[in-house]
Amino acid sequence: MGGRKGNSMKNYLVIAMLLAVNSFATASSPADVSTRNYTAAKARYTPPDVVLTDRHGKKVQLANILAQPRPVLLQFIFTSCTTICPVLSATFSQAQNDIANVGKNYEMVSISIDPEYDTPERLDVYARRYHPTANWVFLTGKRDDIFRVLKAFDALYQSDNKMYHRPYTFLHARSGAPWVRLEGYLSVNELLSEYRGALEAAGATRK
Amino acid sequence: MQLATRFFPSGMARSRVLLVAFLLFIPTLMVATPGDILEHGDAELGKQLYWRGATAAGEPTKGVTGAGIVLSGSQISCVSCHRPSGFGSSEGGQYVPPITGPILFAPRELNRNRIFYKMFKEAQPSQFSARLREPRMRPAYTAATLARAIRDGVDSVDRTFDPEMPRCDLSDSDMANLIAYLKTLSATHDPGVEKDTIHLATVVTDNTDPNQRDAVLNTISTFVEWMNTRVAGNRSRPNFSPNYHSDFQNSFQRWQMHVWNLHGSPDTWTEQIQAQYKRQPVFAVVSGLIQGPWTPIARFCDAQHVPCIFPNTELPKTTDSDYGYSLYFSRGLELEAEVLARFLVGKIPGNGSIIQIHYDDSYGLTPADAFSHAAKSQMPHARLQSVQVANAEELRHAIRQSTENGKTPDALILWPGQDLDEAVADLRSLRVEVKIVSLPAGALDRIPPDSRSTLPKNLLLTYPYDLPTAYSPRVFRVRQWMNSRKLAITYPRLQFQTYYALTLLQFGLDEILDDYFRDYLIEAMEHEAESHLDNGTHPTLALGPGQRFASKGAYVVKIAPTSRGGFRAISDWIVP
Repeated sequence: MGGRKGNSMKNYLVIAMLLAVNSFATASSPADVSTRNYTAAKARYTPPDVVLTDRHGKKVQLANILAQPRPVLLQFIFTSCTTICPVLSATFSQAQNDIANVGKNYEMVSISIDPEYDTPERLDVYARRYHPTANWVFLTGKRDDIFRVLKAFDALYQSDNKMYHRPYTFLHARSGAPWVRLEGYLSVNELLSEYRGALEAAGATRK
Repeated sequence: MQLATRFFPSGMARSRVLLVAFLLFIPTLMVATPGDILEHGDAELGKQLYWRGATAAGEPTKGVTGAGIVLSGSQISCVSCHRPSGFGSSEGGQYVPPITGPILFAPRELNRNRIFYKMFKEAQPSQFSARLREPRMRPAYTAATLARAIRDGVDSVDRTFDPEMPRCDLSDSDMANLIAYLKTLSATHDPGVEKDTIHLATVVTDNTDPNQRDAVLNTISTFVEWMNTRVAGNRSRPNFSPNYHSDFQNSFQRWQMHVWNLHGSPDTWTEQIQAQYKRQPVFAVVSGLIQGPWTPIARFCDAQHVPCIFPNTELPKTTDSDYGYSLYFSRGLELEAEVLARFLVGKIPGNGSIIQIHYDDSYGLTPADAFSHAAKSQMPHARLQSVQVANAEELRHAIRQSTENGKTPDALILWPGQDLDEAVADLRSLRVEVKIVSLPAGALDRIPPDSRSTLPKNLLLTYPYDLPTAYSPRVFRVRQWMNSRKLAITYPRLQFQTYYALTLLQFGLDEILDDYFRDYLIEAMEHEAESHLDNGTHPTLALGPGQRFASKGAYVVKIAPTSRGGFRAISDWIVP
């Protein structure tokens, strides 16, 4: 028994060390790296010029939202998602006020990765749970177009199975600035500090 | 104090009273310890908490994740992550452990079988594998330690939960209700499973085409025979263990397939099927062939909590279907009608006139209602006239009348029930001069490819399947499987759909092993449906938690004798 316990303790330590190494290796700026639950990386993405549909049924050109001189925060979700999307969306929901305090001109974007099920009506029901302000859009669209967006953000999931999608949050200071790619569950403060960090790096902080 | 002074003026008397009161109070203290309060909850109210995140008073529950994100109500409902069965889930690299009664209230046992699927068959990131391999041993939960776990996020040995598990703010009585429900959650196996055998059924109605019925039933019996040969092989060599086979001896069950024949009016089907079920309870109903509405059967599936897996039907139950017990390929004729309405927008003038002629049975009424509804919202200024007919003669008359007196509608929509042959013949002979004439997909099967050139050029059909030009690599394997078993492929789509339903059931059962809980089976199938088991019948078949229609759109096609299959798409895949 004792030996077995010792072994499992050893396994524990190895796993803990590997996890720690992993988060150090992929980490970049803010927050205390040793305690946080997410990874951050910088990347450049070229989102495709596709037309998507918002939750009111209005056609929206994705480029019009992303290619603007204002900050954008973006997540991929789907409305029947059970585990990770409610937390991702709740994070946006609770960060809205603080993000607005940094600067009123910003955009939050939640894009459905299950567009055929997520009709504008379903998306609207989902959105209302999170009390979005006018700065937060929810988008669905054609399956192939959504695929292109996912591909552009290097967010395609394994086996083409949406259950394997990962908890990503992308943000950038303005069109042309690099994107910060966050994976994991961030607290509101962590998201804010990443957001401020991205704005500062792009010289876009307001007083 | 005042009260005591009034009745017991002397200080001595007062202290005696207090002593008596205290002595009387002691037994109460002994009965109502905090742990005890937690033991006597109402499981029904607990279910409401589990499913909707609503307290006994109907208020939304509140909770906070380890990262400080506040969640409430349905965002925090247990069912979200732990699922209806309580067996948990895996999504986005997140492992959600099982919380069924028997698992929570017993010491953690190292049961690799239960996580085998997640360990080896899922495409998950390395953190997920690491998490799965942490033993996290713990003694059985008591009501008190479980309450602490749910409130403070620590397990029965003070180990902190993953940050994604919300720490919930629940009153003692709400907590007691939840605990009472958790005790019952997946506590006893669902019916239909015996020691070596799992009972399954398929449903057919006697009004279906006998050749089609044979094609479906032969596919099923061939599959069951193949399955049982495999099971017998696995069972006969318990120590032969390629791919850890011997670990799973307890879950190799022989399939016993019961064919439930229904007859007479659909109004009596629920009763008939209930009687069959009473004679022999089955764990699940799979595939089948129905002529008429699936609703009477769906009622049975929902009432008995029996998964009814991908029946061949054009008339599924489309209301209150999410999280129901019937899983379907698509919404059938209702979907076709909505796709047609979406297609017509812009193809006919905004204030154009549409005549739809429909039968008075469910095959006519269902799409006609759906079309009227969709047309009203998408073409609010179009003039829609619906004509109900009862037989082939009335149908012919109505088609003729629709273009008489010099008034020609912009579109003529036909929902001819089961009289598709007559409708096709009428269109041939009457030569309707309307810009757009439409029929549902079922009519295509009634028009042999060599006679398609004689059909009017304005004929369109809605087509909720994949096109003949599409390519599905899995078709090769399925055809080989059928050919090598001398199973004649007479109705490819029907048979491939049947094969899909059986395969999905097979993989679902593979995943739940010997945890025979029907909700868990459905959850496994929701997950598996998206794993490219499609064999070319539909462009994609995918479900999600609670989703019940695997294919969500349709094409609009036109007869084109020189194209592959004799028709071609004139629209994109339309998802209404």
